[in-house]
Amino acid sequence: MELTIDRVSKQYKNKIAVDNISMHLDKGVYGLLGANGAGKTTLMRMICGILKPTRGTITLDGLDAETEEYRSRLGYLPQDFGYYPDFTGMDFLLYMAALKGMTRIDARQRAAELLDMVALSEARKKKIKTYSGGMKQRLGIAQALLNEPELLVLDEPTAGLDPKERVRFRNLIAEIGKESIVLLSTHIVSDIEHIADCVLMMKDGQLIYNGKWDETQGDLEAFYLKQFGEEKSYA
Amino acid sequence: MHNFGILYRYELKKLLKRKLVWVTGVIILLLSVAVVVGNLPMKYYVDGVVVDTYYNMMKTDREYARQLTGRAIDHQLLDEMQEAYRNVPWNAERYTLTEEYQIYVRPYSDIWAMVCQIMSVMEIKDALSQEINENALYNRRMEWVEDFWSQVNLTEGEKAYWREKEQSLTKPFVFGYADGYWKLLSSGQWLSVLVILYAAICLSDFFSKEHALRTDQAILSSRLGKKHLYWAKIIAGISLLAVYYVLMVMVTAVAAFGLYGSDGADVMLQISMPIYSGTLRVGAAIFMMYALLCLAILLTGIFVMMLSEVLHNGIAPLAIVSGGAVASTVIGGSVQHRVLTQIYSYLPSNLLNVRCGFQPLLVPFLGRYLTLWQSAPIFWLIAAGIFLVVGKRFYQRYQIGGR
Repeated sequence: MELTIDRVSKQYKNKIAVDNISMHLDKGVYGLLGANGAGKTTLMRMICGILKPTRGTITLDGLDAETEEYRSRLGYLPQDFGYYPDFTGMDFLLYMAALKGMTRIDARQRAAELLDMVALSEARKKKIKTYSGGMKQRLGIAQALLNEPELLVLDEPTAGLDPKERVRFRNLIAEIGKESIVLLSTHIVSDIEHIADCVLMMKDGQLIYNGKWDETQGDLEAFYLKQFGEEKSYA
Repeated sequence: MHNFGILYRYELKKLLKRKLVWVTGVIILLLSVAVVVGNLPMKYYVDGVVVDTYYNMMKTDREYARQLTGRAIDHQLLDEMQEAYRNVPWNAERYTLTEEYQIYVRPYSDIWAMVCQIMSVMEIKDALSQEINENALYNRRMEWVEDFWSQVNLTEGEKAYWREKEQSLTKPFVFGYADGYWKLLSSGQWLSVLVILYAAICLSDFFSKEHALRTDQAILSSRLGKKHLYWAKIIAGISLLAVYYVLMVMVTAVAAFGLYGSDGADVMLQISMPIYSGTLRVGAAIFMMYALLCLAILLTGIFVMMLSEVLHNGIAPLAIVSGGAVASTVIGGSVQHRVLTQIYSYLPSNLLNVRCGFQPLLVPFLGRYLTLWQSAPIFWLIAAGIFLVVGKRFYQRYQIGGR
């Protein structure tokens, strides 16, 4: 299983949001770091096939990001995750499962499992509009995992989660990373330190770091702060 | 098949969960009934005093009209009518309240209305000063019809088509009571405006809301979200309108036939529209009107959904479609501009206006001529196909960026 990003760029009129990025990702957890406006979300949207690159190609085992087969192997949690206020948590997952092409029986079983996993079993019949921010975020994580994706893209997944939930989430992602490609973006350097096998760092649309990070290299947060000047991370 | 049924049910659920769909639905159904029922529940006042109810007046007129049903509008009937009208004291302040009017004249009021249209007279006194006989009446009608054909710039081929139709009309015309049908036919334009409003209100944000709620990201990155969901949404939108259409047909038909009676399906359209030259009977005309109303609501629904996706906005499609429909009820076509008039006539809210829909404008098609009502389904289906393709193209090519 390999995600290939080949010379991908995205340009908006006078601004280059992503500038000629190339990389190959195998199984594992990849932490994408970068300040606001660095191009993380744009890159992730292109990887998810909802934003077309101006140049370059993105493929998963040779399948183009535009294809239905590619999307059937993808799980995505957008940064600004939208939901239907009048749907219950269970309804929402079943709807997303149908969109992912799952059978009704598989969908019910998997939705129940995931609701349990993200601690929403008791709230499964409640309307989403009654959920707290953290509950909505957990529901978003659950929908991304429905089809047991080979490529999981998570944009700011820990936003809104309390410390206990974040720890649980990190463990979950580490487990999924053993069998899938997990790409997650965050401002929280400690999240990356704990679970990412590989660190990707973006600045001004360019990939400025791509590699493993271990303690011998020093403090990741200090390195991150150095790259981004006075900008702060929130640990 | 690709979870289409499940997706369809969820899309329908999204629509039916909205209170607006139900509240608007009930209000528009009530308005539809009101359009058909008209002033029947009201009272008729003269100088502030209740003289009768409109419902009672309708019942009296209906009884008289039923007595004349089946009679040819020939020399004998025209003589009878004129004789009756001569009994009325026209100098009375309110001659319609005189006993003579009620006894002698009222039974012929439907025939009189047709004669006045043909003879182009407004005042009864003026009409009485003329000799109204069978030949004069039908000759005058033919002159009027031919004048109108020239006014609307019919080609020689079109005139020949209508002359042929005229040849096959039974003359003298045979009178028949068909007020239930007339009421529905004359309500056609308002019914179409109301269903268009319903489609615009319920579906104007059906696609754009996915962008506003930001659910589009999860949808468009899913396996079936780009292709199958588009069709599931379209079919769900159409289903809602189709069910609503059936309800509207039922309540309007029950209201019209329940109040006015369902007799008269085979009455000639010329009894109420003497200028019409076709052979269509009122029952068939109502059938066609309802069929066109069905197509109109589906076409409008598809158009609204396309606008919703293309404009990514729920207000603009609502304003465009409802504003256009209401405007068409007050802006008429110009007889001088044949092509523009014909195009304008194909707007759903215009075509179901009897005066517009039964214009003699024809469309040549495969070596024959089609009337406006016959050709509209062809154009509407082509338009619906274009709207579907354009909407799909915008939906599938939507790029999520810059938020």
